[in-house]
Amino acid sequence: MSCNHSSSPKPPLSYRIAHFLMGPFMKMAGLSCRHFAELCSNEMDRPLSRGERFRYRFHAMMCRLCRPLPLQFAKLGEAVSCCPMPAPTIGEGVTLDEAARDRILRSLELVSEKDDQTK
Amino acid sequence: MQESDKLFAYAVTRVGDRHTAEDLVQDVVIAAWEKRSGFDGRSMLGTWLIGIMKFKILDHYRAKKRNPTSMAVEMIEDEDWGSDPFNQLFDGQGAWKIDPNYGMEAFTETPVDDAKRHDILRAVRACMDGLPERLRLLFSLRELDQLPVSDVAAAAGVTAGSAAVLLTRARHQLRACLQRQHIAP
Repeated sequence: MSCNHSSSPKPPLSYRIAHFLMGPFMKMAGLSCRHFAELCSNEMDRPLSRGERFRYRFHAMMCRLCRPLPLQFAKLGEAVSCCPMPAPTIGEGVTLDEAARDRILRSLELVSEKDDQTK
Repeated sequence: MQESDKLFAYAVTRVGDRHTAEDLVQDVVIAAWEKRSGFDGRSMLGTWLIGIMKFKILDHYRAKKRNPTSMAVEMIEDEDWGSDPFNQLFDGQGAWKIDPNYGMEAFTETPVDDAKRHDILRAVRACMDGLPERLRLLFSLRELDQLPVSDVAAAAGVTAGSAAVLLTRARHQLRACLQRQHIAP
């Protein structure tokens, strides 16, 4: 899965200037946008440590560009979990075929017969 | 057997293979028969069966990865995990190379109407299909089935720490893919 964003615009000039001036410090302090993007995902899987929480909040407060990221991830998770996913590449309306249905019925009959015998 | 098609469709979306999905449905039907006394009718039958299916899917992946590895992500970099999206999204200082909000308006608006949700789901499905297999497995078990990271890690055969890193990678790859699709608000 390549990540070709040639058609996506660059960040606003003000952002680029700010990062040109502050970038090295932000990176050293773990306050860069990249760090924030990682923390956004981490907080979906585990509670953040106190230091991580501080960096997360501090970055969200000062970076307008990153602020919508948590909402984007939440929406992505919501979209995936709330509704049945469309069928994958093998086709829409995926159903069991007759042979598989018979096989499953037979195995169920076998199990129930064994059940009866043990009783 | 009325529920079998639903179970089958559910399994196919998780394992991506008809034959494996058929076997899983068979396992679930038998397990449900054996545990039928445990079904108290408080939940819908379909919900109960899907619950069993989740465990069967986990068992299926665990069996495939019988020896969970303690490999770190760096050591499995050349496996089927895909490239690191961070290197394409951020520069050396950790600043965005592109505007992260361009094309993502549909993901920040509330509420989302049904037509839009359908577009989003289709786009998410298309992007998920583009994920490397094991990354897709990790993401779908975690986000679709809401399973704990430890279970997801065991199913994928990695440590919990590596699973967290890989889940981050999966989310960012998906986000980047969706941004390219640019679903209009």
